[in-house]
Amino acid sequence: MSLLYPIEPSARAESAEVQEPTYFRDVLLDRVVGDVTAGRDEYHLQAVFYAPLTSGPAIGHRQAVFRDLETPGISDALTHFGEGMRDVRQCGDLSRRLRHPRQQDRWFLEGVTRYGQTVARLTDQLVAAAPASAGLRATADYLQQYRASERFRAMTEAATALVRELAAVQHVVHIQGSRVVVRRYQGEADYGARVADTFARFRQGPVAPYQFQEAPSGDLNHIETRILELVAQLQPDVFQRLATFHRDYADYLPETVARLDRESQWYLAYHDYVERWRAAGLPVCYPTVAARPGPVVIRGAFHPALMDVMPPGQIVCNDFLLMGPEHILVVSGPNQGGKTTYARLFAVVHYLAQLGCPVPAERASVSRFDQIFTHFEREEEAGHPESKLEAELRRLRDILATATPDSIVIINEAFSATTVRDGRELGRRVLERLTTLGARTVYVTFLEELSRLSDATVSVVALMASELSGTRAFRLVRQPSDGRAYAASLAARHGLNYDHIREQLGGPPS
Amino acid sequence: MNVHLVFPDRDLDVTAPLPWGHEPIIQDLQLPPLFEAMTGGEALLDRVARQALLTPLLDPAIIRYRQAAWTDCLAHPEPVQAWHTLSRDGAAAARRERAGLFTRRADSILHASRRAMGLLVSTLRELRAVADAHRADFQSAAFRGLTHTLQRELDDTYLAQVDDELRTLAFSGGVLMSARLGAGLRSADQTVRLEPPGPRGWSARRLLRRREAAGSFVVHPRDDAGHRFLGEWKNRGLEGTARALAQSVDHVLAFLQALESETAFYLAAQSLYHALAPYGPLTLPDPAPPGSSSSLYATRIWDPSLALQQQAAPVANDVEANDARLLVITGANRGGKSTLLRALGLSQLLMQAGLFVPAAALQAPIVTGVFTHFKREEDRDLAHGKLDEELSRLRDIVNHLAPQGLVLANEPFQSTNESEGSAIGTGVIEALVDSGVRVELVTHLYELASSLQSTYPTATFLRAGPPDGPAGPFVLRPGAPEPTAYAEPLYRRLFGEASPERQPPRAEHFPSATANQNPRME
Repeated sequence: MSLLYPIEPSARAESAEVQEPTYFRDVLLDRVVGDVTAGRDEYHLQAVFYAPLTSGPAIGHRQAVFRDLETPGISDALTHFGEGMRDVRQCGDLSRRLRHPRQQDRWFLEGVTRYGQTVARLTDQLVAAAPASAGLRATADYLQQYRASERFRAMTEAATALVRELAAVQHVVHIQGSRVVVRRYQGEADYGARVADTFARFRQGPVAPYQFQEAPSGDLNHIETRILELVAQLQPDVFQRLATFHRDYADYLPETVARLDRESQWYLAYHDYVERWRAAGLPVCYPTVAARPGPVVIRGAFHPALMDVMPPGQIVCNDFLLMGPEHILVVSGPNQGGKTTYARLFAVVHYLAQLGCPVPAERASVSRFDQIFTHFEREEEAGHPESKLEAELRRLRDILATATPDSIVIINEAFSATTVRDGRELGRRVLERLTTLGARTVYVTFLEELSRLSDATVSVVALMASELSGTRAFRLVRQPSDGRAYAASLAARHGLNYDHIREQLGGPPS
Repeated sequence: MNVHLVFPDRDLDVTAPLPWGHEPIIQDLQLPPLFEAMTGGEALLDRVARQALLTPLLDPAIIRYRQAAWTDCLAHPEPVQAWHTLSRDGAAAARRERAGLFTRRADSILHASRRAMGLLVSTLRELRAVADAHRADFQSAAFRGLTHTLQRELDDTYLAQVDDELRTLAFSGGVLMSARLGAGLRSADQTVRLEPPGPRGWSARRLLRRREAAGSFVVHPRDDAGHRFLGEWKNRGLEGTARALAQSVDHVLAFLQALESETAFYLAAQSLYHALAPYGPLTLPDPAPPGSSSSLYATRIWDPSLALQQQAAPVANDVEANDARLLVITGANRGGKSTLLRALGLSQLLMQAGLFVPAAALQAPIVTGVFTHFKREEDRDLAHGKLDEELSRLRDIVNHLAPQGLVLANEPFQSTNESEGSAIGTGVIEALVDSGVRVELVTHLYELASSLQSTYPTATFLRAGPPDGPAGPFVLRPGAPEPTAYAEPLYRRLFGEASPERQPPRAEHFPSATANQNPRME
């Protein structure tokens, strides 16, 4: 059973691609993945993001789970499960780290107790939420069987009993100078309560809560250890059973549950990320992903990495449309016009769609890719113009040699290290090869004539940001000054006219 | 155990934020001389005085509660003064005992609190002695209630029980604590327990011998870390007791602080009374519940702040307003218009503080809030922003107003020309009056005043005559607005000229543009 894959995960799916793909930096997918996985380092979720899916059913499998997560009961259940498992791991860490064997036993018991509660709660909540996706239905089925299993029941019942017995070991300690006596508690009255009672008649309003030194955590010191040993003598059998419990259940966590923990975190991570878009009023949709190259229709898409650098209100959404023979978008226009972001966005939407994720767009209809190739001018490559041009041509040659009709190619600002005439000529030849190849391409250039090469190319012109977003500006218009109009309009601007004041004071209508 | 001298059902909160708009009130109604007379500059009294005068009471029952208490205090100031001094000094001594206690160690907090409580108990004994000696002096619910509280809550049996508890808290026979096994088997929920009383108190040896003990150990004398750990363990157990005692100290301190503040209110009132008494009549007013009446009657009302500043009795005026929804004061410059407006505003504040007012008699409705909008000298040179500035102040007032509020406006809408100012002003004032806001307005805008008079024929219009007029200086009489502000005599006096025709008046010497446009000036 796996949430991430419709069949048992093949080892190939993740382990082969633990390295970040080289184009991640160019299209800022590294930032997207960084934002999605922030705070979840312990799950090593990156590897899932580095492995786009290769089949339609696999994409559908994940999309169905994401749709289930939109039901608050389901995402909450998985979130609580993740928090619970985190607690369980912390208890386990303490159990291994502390020196005193009785403390190790007790933290182990604590971990098992919380584990039992966490699993039971997830099972109940998931079954009650009746998920629609195959992944979560299989998970619910597994959990029901597991919770009913003899070993799980015996373990949690034993844990509950031990916790109760240990809590009942109440004792009193008498301290006089350096002498410490430990004995059983025999119902002696609470003295602090009596003090509060004595002074109760002075009680006024709320007063300072009085915080004291934090209780220590971690290892017991030698005084605490001696007190504990005397307490253990009050009820030796309980402590013996505690040690046995630790030995019997040392290896209690099934691999399936551990995997469920990690895999649900992958969904939650991306789900939380999408919730941030939704909260900011930005679009999100489930893309259709065709198996073979075909039309590309992406409406109202934005690059999610922009959320790190600007307020959501300033983020501009863009469209992509490739129909019939078209497969190359040639992007030209002024600098600072968002051309690079646009080119990146094309790859990002395709990539996220092929991970089985919802994408940042109003609507998206794309097809699967086999590889993504990017060519972005990089600071570290800036050197001698000739060697730079050479490096650039080498890189393009490699791309053209490796890319297939199913690939996506993103080329940004090529040939800026040569003359306009040479650049135009080189660009024309590269575009011709890309046309022949048939790969989906976004080609960003400052030479707009390259956009008119063939019916495979589509021109996209960047408009100034202010035109796109309709940035408002205050207009200063000189008008003949009319005193009364000025005073009255000033008063009106302050809301100081009869109707407005009457409305504001809510008095009876006159 | 509550003081409740200032409110029948709660303590005076001297730290409560003052209502919005209190700064302009202090400035416009010239409150600082009153504060000075009430407090002699003492910080707590000043806070109490500001709190009382600037947070108007809305309930006539509470106003009468204070009026009665004030009457008691005027007749018998000694016990009030004694309680004030005792609570102030007693609280200060207890606070010193805990000063510099920044520790979070339960044992230190416990011991300092024990010493502080010892001091507080002796202060409480003295407070009760004052109550015992003066119980027959008081008639008011407030002071009778306080004497009763002190006598009932601080009886001898109880104070002896407190002394006893303070002795037990020394833990001279060691301390007995219960505990549970908490997270990771660390002791938790340590709680001090009471050993059932035995013939010779607590002793470890006896416990070991008589009870079912698991065992014992002794921390080695040279085991410094061990002693520290044992102290920490014990401190966790003392937390509940230390907190209970420290909070009890805080509660007693809060009681003393309330007593100090609330007696301060009446002592401040007493100082003010004696400071004002030489300059004119003082009386307890008759407040009408908000909205219950729209009439206002004042006999010989005078401006106490002006009296304190001039060290002389100011002119007193009578106001007889059957319809006090709108009071418009017009007339001569330097004719006492602003002074009357201030006298009305200050009387309103004093009445709604539950105190006496500067008048021979005053009957007035309670308002939900007092707001002042006075022209601002400092804005004069900001030619362009002036109208904007005064309108924005007015807008802020409207934003905080409620029906049955009171707006005292002194020459508003005059930072533009008369017709514009009157046009805006008519809309604003009518909206306020129609919404049930009481407006007391001083204006030179004839168009505004006469338009208001035709809209509200029953409203009250007072007019200041010229200083050399028949009624005498600064006396205001009922009268319809006139299109003159008697600026001409003032101008002639200042310029020593027979006729303005030969040298046209310069605008800046006239506080109002009205005079310039006035055909009767000729």
